[in-house]
Amino acid sequence: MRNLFLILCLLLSTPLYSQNDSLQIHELQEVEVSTFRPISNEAFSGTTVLSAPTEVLSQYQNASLSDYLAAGTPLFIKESGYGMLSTLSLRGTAASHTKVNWEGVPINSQTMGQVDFSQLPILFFDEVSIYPGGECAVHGNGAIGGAVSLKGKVLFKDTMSLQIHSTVGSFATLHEAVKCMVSTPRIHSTTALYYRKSDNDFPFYFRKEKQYQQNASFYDYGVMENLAFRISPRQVLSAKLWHTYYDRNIQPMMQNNQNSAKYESISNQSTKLWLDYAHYTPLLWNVRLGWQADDQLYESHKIATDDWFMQTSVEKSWKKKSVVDASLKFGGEVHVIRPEVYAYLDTSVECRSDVYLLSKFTFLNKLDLTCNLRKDFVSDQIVPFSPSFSLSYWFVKKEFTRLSAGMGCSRNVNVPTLNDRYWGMIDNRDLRPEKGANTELNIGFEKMIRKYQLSAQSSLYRNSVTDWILWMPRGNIWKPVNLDHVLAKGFELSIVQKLLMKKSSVSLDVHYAYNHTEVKEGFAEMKPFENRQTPLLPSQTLSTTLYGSVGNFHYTLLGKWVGERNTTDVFEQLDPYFLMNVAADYSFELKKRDRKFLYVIDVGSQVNNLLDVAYYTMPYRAMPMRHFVFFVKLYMNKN
Amino acid sequence: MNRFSFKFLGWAVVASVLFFSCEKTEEGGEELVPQKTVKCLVVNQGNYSDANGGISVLYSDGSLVNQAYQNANGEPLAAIVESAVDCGNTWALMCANEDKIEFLDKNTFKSVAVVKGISTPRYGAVVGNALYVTSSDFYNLSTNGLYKIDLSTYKQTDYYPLEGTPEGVIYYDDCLWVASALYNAETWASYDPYVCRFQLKNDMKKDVYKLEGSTMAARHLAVDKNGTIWASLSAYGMDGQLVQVDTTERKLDNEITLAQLNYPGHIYASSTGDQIYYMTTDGYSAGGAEEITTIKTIDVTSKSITTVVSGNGFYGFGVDGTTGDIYTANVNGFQTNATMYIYTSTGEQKNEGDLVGVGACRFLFPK
Repeated sequence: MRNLFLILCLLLSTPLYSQNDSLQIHELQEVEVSTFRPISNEAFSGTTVLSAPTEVLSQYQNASLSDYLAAGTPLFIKESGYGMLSTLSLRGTAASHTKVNWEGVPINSQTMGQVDFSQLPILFFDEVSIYPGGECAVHGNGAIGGAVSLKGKVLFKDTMSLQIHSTVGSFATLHEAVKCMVSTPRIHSTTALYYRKSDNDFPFYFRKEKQYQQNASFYDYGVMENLAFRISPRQVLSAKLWHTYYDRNIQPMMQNNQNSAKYESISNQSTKLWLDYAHYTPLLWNVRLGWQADDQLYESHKIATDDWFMQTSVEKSWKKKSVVDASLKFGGEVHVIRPEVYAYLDTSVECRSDVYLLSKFTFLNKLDLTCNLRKDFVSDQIVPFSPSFSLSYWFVKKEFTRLSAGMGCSRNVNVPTLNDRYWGMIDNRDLRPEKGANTELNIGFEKMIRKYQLSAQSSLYRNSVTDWILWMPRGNIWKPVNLDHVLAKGFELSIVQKLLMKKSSVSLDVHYAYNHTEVKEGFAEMKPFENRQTPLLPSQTLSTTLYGSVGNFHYTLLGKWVGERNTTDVFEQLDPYFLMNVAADYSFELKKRDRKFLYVIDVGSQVNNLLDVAYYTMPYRAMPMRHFVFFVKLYMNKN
Repeated sequence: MNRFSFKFLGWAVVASVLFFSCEKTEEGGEELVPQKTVKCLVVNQGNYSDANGGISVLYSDGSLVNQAYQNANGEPLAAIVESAVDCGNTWALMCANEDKIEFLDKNTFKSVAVVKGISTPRYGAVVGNALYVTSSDFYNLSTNGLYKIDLSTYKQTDYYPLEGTPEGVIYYDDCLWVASALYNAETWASYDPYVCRFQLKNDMKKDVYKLEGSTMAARHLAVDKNGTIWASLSAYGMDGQLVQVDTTERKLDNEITLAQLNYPGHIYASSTGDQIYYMTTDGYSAGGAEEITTIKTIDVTSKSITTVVSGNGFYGFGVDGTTGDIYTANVNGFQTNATMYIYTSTGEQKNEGDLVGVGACRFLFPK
């Protein structure tokens, strides 16, 4: 019995490094008036979190999330060309295993299951957080590899700001954007608009011949509105709108660059709109009604979905009342999806819903425990439960020093996408959901010595996925089938340092990730391919971000090394590459006409792929070598 | 130069002599050994999105060289290889994505010439000093047809338009015979299969042989010992057919329905012409990851069917006209390299399975 107790103690002594009470690798910007916002589901997450530094995001307001993630994080983005479809695979899983939530609403494509990160403008978000590690109970169905959370701020205080951005770059690239925030104690509004275009005719070398990229031009625009009205001290009504449109020629493979017969184009319109009502005491009750639609034209083929949805949740927190702090959240959502896709057998309506119960407990301010459960319901499909559990223990939790260790485990599911179920004029509804079992160990250390901050975090994970869906040739078409077993395992290390001085600061973030994903069971004759990394995913990535400021001068240096990658051919590997991007800007503070307003003009430049490296993330999809961006930003802030 | 350097140099010389003639088998990246006799050219179709088609070479001494194109030319083919043809002194590779016909030296596999401008080249037949190639672009039907390439100049010299999606082509009785079908790009479906005959000695006069009522596509052709032309018809989700071309009535008849003739529909006549080889898909393995496939023969006289080989994931096959051996490969869903198997004419397995390129589907035997 005593031994059992000791074992239990040992287990508890390696609990999960919970992000919520730690200083975090990058401290999330807390919403100023947090009581006017329900606790996000992510707050119940037991996995690690990577948060984009706000200083770096502010320099990449003219870029897509794909541009930033590809250059400034250890995450590997598959890009089918510059400005083309860009997807994120977390911890060696597939693109459709990354759940992306904007303000708590899933925005993954209903047809493909993935998200095109080239169409997520950084301008729209104040917070970008990545949660590697599956935890469907928290993030929702599909988060087998992890989740990305995108958020804006709601303030309810007397302030306002206006930002006007103008950017020109190589290959006739133009980006114009406006972001305006107006806030009073009763009303908050953030409006963002952007327009971007590019000829995208960058040079590249193929068979030692210099060519200029053809048929890769694009333009896109978008508008986002985040409106909130404080009806009373206990009630908030808010509305959110997202509308983006892109029209792009599809960048051909290098060998087809000069063959106009192979040129294709695509356009897509995405609209999201919802109303949200929150009532605060005694319980926090939240209900949201919304609609989102995607309308894509691939050549002359239509791929469209309508998604009407409702989300609701009830939550309660008990803080500092006893030796135990606790938060509970119970909720659910219903999506009614109507596809209109040229290659579907029929356009029957599909209903997808779930209920969840999230809980988090803190004992004696030392031990954090999360326990979450979600159950999904899908038309004609039985979906297993998605539980998750985590423990984290703070060995040291002082003001300037923290040391914690933790563990977490979760069972996750990914319901087949609409394409999986209906594509190709066939009925695939017997396809089983993918199921993942994720376990991880984490350790974190943070230290602050006067003006120096150090944060280190390390994770070890194992993600076993059964019934992995893979598209296989079946006669003259490709059809999804379930593979028996795919195993992903790996290691991540992050070290973040920051030095704050009187008029300057400097930060250095270093992230290393090792991943190995292989098919363990699936084909009868996979023996030659055992212990072999899944094609196109690097086993190793290393990213460094150096950023800071000296007075009004700001700089960012992004370095990223991507290791050798396998292809589908065991005799062929894609070479490793190292990319470096540099950004710098100077802020001119204009004379204050009155003390309420601050006017700033920011002039800067980015040099991307500084080392002029020829590389590609997808075979024969050329990427631009060294190119330049120049920008001017005008800020006006009411203090 | 000091003593250590001399010693190192000496070892380097010895090592270079020792390793110069070494070769590895079943691995990529090794030097080709042109003095050996090519027994089988394996065409690896490749994965479309990776454009990693290529060739593997099996020599008569049993050694196998993968990535033969890349080794000989210093860079990958960067295409999908649909088929290959023995043109005498060269091999012609019919490639898509990038659309081209790549001519390789018969022994060294160095690129001799590249012909571009033909959309999605599919299959070819050699007549004298000309190569006739079918072109079958699903998205641009207007350029489909039969193209003639002069093998002296490696230039396209003629074009004979054909409706629909032309596939297999053979040369027989001073005529070129092409399997084709009309095709609806909107519904992704074929209909009205037909075989077209071009009379070489009659200014390429064209005769069309139709099979009324079928919605499958005519894929490939073979000639039996009686001089009868056989055509395979296939379509996804339908039982395939073998039909005979009635040259008198100018139609296709004597239908033999075959359970799930596999989609590419390759057929070959045995060296004696008394058997026609074909492949069927018979279902899926547990879990559905792999197709269960079977290579069968049909006796051209009695029409009796014999199962020769069964296995998983076969996509194409070839029959060695000299030995009667059957070459095929499990393409592993095009997700990674294929595993090649060799069987005797009676179905006995001759090897344990050799790793070749991605999507190995055609097997050619030098004339």
